[in-house]
This record gives sequence, C-alpha cells and structure tokens, in this order.
Amino acid sequence: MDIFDQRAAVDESEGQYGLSGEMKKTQYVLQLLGAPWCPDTLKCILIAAEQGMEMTCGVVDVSQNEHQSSDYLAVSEFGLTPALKESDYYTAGVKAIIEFINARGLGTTLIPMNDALATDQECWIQIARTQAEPAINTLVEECVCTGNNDAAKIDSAKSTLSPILDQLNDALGKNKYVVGKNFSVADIHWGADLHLLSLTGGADLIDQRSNIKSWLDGLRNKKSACGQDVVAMSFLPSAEDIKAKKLVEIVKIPDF
Amino acid sequence: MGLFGFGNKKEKATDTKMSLSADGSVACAKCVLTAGVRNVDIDVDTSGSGTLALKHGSFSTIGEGAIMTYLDRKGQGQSVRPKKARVLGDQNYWLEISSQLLDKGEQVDAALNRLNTILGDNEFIAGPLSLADPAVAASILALKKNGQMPSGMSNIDAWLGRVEQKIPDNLRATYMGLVN
Repeated sequence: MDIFDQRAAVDESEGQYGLSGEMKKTQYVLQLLGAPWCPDTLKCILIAAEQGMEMTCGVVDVSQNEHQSSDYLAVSEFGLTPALKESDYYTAGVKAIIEFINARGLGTTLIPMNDALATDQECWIQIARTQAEPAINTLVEECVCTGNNDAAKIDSAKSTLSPILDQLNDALGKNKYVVGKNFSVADIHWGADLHLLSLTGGADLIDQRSNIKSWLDGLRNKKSACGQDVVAMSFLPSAEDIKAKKLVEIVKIPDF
Repeated sequence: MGLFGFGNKKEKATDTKMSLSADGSVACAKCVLTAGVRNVDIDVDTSGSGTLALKHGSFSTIGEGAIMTYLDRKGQGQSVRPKKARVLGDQNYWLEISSQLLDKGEQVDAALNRLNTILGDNEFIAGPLSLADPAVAASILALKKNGQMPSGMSNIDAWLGRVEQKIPDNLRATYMGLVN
C-alpha cells in the first residue's frame, strides 16, 4: 500500500469505475495528493471534473515537509507536488497532471488547436504561475491558513496583483474566456487562482473588475466540458476546508 | 486575446523568418534547441536583456513555454507533443524537472541518475522525441558550463548526441554559445 492508498484511497465497495472490470467510463479511478491551499492541486481537481474523471484526493502538507517523507518520495521521486496515480502510472507536477487528465478524459481537449491561441494560453499560464500565484499564496497564508492577517503583507500582495488582474480584466472584456471564445486550460489555471483569491482579504480585487467577476461567476455555474452533470468549481475547497486540510473527492459523476 | 495583440486572428503560415530576442539564458537555449529539432529557421539576437521574446511577422509572444509551443507547432512535419496521455505526462514531468530542479541546481545528481537510467531504455526521454528533450538538454548544457555535470553518464552523453545532431549547422554554433 503506497501513500496514495493511505491518503486517497479508492473505496472498492462503492464499485467505482475501473475497479469492477467493467470500464464503464474511465479506465481507472485517479488518485491525487496535494493540498487545499495549493493552486496547482485545485487546477488538477478542476481539470478532472471538467473532463469527467473520478478522482480521490488526499492531503500532503508541504509546510510540514511531508513531500520529503520516504512514503511520498516513493511515489514522487524528487518531491514534486501535486502527484497523481492511475493504476500503475505515477506522475507529478501541475503541467504533467493537467495534460495527462486532459488527454485521458471524456471531453474534447481543452488545449486550443489554433497555434496562436495555444501560444497565448501558455503566456497566460506563465503569468498565473510566476506572477500572480506568489501573491495569492501570501494572501491565502495570511488570511486563511494562519489567520495572521499581516496588513503589510496583504497590502503588498494586493499591489502586486492589481496590474496583473487589470490585464486579465482587459482580456476578458474582449473574450468570453481567457484565450478566446472557448474554455481552455488557461481558464483552469486562473479559475483555481481566483477561487483562492476570493477566499481571502483580496476578494475585493475581483469585485472591482467586472469582467473578471462575471467570468468567475460564469465558471461557478458552468457545466463540465465533458457535458456531464457536474460543475467543476463546486469541487474546490472552501476556507473552512482549507483550515481543516480537507479536499473534496470527485466521485459518482452522474451520466448525461 | 488582447495582451500581446494576437488571439482571435487566425494565424497563417508565413515565409517571414522568426526572430528570437533574449539574453542568452538557459530559457533561451531551450527555445533555440526547440527551433533546431523542429527545423524552424530563426534569427537569434542575444544582445538584449530581460524578456525572452519571439517575433514572427505581426505575431509576437513572450516566455519559454509559449515560445516552445509556437516553435513546435510551426516546425516541419508533425508536432512532437505526444498524443498518448502517459507519454505526454512523462514529457511534462521532465519539463518540470528541467525548470524546477536542474535550472535551479537542485537535486541534480539524483535527477540525472534517473535520466541516465531512463535513457538506457529509451531513445529519447519520453520514448519518442518530445519537447522534454530540448528543454532538458539545454538545462544540461548550462550544468556542463557551470561544472555541475556529474561524470559517468554515458546514456545521457549518447542521447545529447542524438538531440544535438538534429540542430541545423547554422543554429548549432549559436546554441552551443548560449548560457555563459
């Protein structure tokens, strides 16, 4: 039994897909290890729900160095988080997991076919990962995880985010989604980031930008890309879930 | 989209030569090597500093991930982005190791030992040639130039030969001169 089976166990009594040998919708149930305050973990949950893939989730607390434990290193050799297991296949890191699930899932690909849009998507992902997320992580840490609410740190993070969100707001004024008229992996990245932001003292940054606000409201009501009866954003953790170190599993996805 | 002035316009193949402006960083080396293995004719200007940027006619983009994606899409023949989910997962796992570990000088020996083992079985990192190959090869070029490359990695050396063999002559000198 590896750390996935300890912390993100699949309940075989429930007869989940793949375990009974019927291969009803997906070949195997996915197992994810991450953390509810981690944007990358939330992106993996979103893509799984969007693509109709059932996934059990367990918590690995990087702040407690659990990603350096021997159990975790046995499944993610270099300690990369989050980590994913599908039967005998293991991978780690947000890009690997998102694109694996996207390719494995039931819906059409969320990576644009158009060369310019695919390139544009990568630009927005890089902005999310390298510019926005460090500030969002600070806000989540200060406002949710520790409750320290250090005003200087919060103000600094909000100042960093403000011009970045202005750019995003402009883009969403021209397009329905981040990189055009279709939902893409860029929306997965920003959806996870802005969900976390909405739980913090930086939520006003969203409310002040009408295009971002209406886009995020839209995501919170959008049925999954695979067409099944789920709203992917509904699987993301609340502030209480984060404090309780709890991730919501994606199981029993209803059929069309 | 609006940020870089492209987006909704349908991109057409063009004879305009691409130009890459960069500061000679490892990210730049990854893009140049990607252009090489994908047979993209490209001018490289390393006299600038700061943002890594690609221009192709009226189209422009910034950042390593975006540029590698564009070069792959515009290269000769089919994209090297794997279609099978697990192979794609492996490509992207090594892209993360390249940027999160090798480029930061973290866990270098362990990562390269693993890579050396993988390349004992595989011709390329994920099996077929993928974007992981130019990315990791450029990371290793930087490690070599910094004297951080462990010895005795014969499978890696043979693989580097296979990857670098794909670079057209006019780009090879440029590539090898990067990451100083």
